[in-house]
Amino acid sequence: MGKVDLCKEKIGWGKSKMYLESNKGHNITLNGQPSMELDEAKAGSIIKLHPLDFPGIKPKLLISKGEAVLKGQPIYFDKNNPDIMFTAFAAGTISNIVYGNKRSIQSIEIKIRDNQDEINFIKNESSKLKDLEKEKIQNIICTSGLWPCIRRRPFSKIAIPDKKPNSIFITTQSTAPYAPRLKVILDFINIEELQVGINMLSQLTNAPLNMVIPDHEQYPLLKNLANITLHTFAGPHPAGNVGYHISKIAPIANKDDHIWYISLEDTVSIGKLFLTGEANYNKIITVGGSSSGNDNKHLVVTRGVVISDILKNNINLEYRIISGDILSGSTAKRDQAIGFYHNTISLVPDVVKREFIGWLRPGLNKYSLSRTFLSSMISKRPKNLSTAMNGGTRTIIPLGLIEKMSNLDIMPTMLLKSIIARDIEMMEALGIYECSPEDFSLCAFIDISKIDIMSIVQEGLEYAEKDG
Amino acid sequence: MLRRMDSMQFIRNMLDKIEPNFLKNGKFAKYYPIYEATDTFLFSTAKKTQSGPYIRDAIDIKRVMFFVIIAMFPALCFGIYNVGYQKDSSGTILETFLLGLPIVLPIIIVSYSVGGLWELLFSIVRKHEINEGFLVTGMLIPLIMPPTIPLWMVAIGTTFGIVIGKEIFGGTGYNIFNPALLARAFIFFAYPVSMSGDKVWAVDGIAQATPLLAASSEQGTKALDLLADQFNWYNMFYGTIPGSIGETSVIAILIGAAFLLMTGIGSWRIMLGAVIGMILTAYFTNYFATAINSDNPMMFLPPHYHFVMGGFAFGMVFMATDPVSASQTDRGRWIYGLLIGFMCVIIRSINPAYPEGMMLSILLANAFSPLIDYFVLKAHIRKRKSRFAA
Repeated sequence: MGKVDLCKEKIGWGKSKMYLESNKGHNITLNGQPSMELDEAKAGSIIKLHPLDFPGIKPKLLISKGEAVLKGQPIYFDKNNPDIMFTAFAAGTISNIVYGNKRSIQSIEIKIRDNQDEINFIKNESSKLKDLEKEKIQNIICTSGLWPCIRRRPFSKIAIPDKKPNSIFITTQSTAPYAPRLKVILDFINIEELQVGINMLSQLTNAPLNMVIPDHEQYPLLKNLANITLHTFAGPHPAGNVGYHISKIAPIANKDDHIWYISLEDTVSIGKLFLTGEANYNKIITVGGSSSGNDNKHLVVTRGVVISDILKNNINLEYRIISGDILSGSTAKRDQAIGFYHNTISLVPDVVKREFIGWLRPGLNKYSLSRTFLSSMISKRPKNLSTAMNGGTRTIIPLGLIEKMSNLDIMPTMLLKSIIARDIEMMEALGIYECSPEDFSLCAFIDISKIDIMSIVQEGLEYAEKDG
Repeated sequence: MLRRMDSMQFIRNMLDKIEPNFLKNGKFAKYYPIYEATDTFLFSTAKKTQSGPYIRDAIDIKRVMFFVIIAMFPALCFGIYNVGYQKDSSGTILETFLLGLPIVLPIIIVSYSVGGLWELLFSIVRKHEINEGFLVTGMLIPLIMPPTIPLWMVAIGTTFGIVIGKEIFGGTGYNIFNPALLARAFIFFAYPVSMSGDKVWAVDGIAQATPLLAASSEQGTKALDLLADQFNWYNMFYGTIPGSIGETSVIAILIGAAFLLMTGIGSWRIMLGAVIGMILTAYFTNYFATAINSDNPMMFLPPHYHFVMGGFAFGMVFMATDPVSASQTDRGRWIYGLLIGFMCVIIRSINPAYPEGMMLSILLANAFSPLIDYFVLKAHIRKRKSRFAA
């Protein structure tokens, strides 16, 4: 643990318990990095709720088309966990409900009205927060619509209220491309609300809380937080992934080891909820990758805001819009809302040029983490990446490249093979419960066989959840 | 330049025009793999990412396999030259090269066309895309054949290597053994006279033994004394000696090795493991042979001779590093490499019937590699469990 002491000296974190350093992975340098400027993106005339943002829930609607709703009013709930409410992020009228396959709800549209009446979730109780009972805290968070902000590992799904966690992690700085900067977020939030949020989560679960912050910058605001252990991390993406932090600090041994995680911003929202009774549905996002540099910045948005309202400038049709980060987000249409858990709108050029005998070329303009292109000899790697696959899908040829991109204590090739073979026993032994597809996004990036590694991991998790 | 652009565009347009015939419900839908192979050989693929990550590294299997072929190029060129040199060493470099070319080229052509045919057949029957791995196998096979090999034997060997060695397991990526080595092993056991024995190197009636045969030819002497008449370390290192086409020049092979290591395609763990295993074992047999006053000449062969003789260097660089048939864990790759080095010396020195130990040692290690991985995996799982014990 020599490294821990060294870190304490360097940063001066009195309470820092662990220093997580990983040299596996890579920071992909892309064009169109968001600036540190923080702007506000006002929602247009409608916002949208997408129940499909939450894997594994069975939504049951509480409203019907044409009904007027208040901000914070429950719109639907999860049939599996009826306490968890999904609320309206703004007051207005339900203008449309769109169904997809098998009557799954694709989206619920709310036409925003001027008068933003909202529900107050906590009345005259702010003075005695310390004495609030667990059930009361749980009830307030669940009805406020903020409970879905708390997720759990394994499976990266919404935390189950009645199943208390071994540990809670508050995520700070993502290392994914274009991710919002912690500095911007910290300038925006109220630290007292953060502390109350932490206290409430602690009071609710009695579980230890952890926060892992990047070690390359000082965050004096966080230094004096109570009821939480601060750790630091260093290294390239995915060093900021909560999966990595959990694997080092509170490793998941089996399916029933629940670890909760929530973002720092959402913890602030929970704090605010208990201080003021108001459910805050705003969040800070970034836009990255746009060819017009003015677009690439931090924005405060309301959850449910439609992407075309965020990307005010006309985005060239030759770009693909990704809700979330470029590695682990999902393709989104312009009329869709930004994903509930997504903090970034990424734009990627969607035009693939077919190169004549491309495999033969020296590759001065190629982006590769392998050393098979001349560009890798020259340190300046080009940054224009498109949605090109750069190759056909083939069987697994283990060159040892994907091992360099995973910082979990897991053998990725072996895990993938066990998933493909549906060998649940082996999957469990190799640590499937510690995994989330996002932890394998760079493995999929570098894979020479162009296999859908993230989907395979997701499949593995689904088998294990069902039959493990 | 403009004309080149035009002709490229012409090819592209033509491919686009015929593409519908090969797609679903097209006239030649069955033969889609042929179209796909041609199309992506000529132009980088048009495929776009459908799910995360939405951007991908520029590397693909085509690139990797192509680089392995580049790495084999020095050994191939020298091999052709050496075939000419063994026939008639009086000409200029070019003359000598041209002398060797008509002998080597047909072997390459047979290997590629027979191998390609099988690959194509299986991809059509199995409805999968043609895997570029066969490009490497098709080049490896000629390089590990003696130049005197009859072409029909190359065809049979290639067939055995590709069909029995690879396709019955499910194709590239699923094979247990290195298909090229299996092709050689098949010919070695089926037609031993062509592969080894006294007439191993008989171009135009000139018969000469390879260094390995010479070194193991007489009981009761030391290998170096037996070699001394015909070979010295340097000509074995440069490669102007009889042997299989690609294996003789260690320097050409090492250039390829440097390229594979530089690009990260060849596993340095396997290569280093094989060298270390060979050195340790050779020292051991040297010591042991002196101690018991052995009359087995190969027991006295020092490690740096093992390194330059026979297929050791070639096998270590191009065969042992085949990522599919080798161990697939980092620690496993070390063990696998060490095992190859160890087995090679043991087979060479203990079993005089097989002076070329490298082929068998790699095949043996291929067979053991899943077991090696299994134990590495077990150890990993045990270590993982210990994290939770506390």
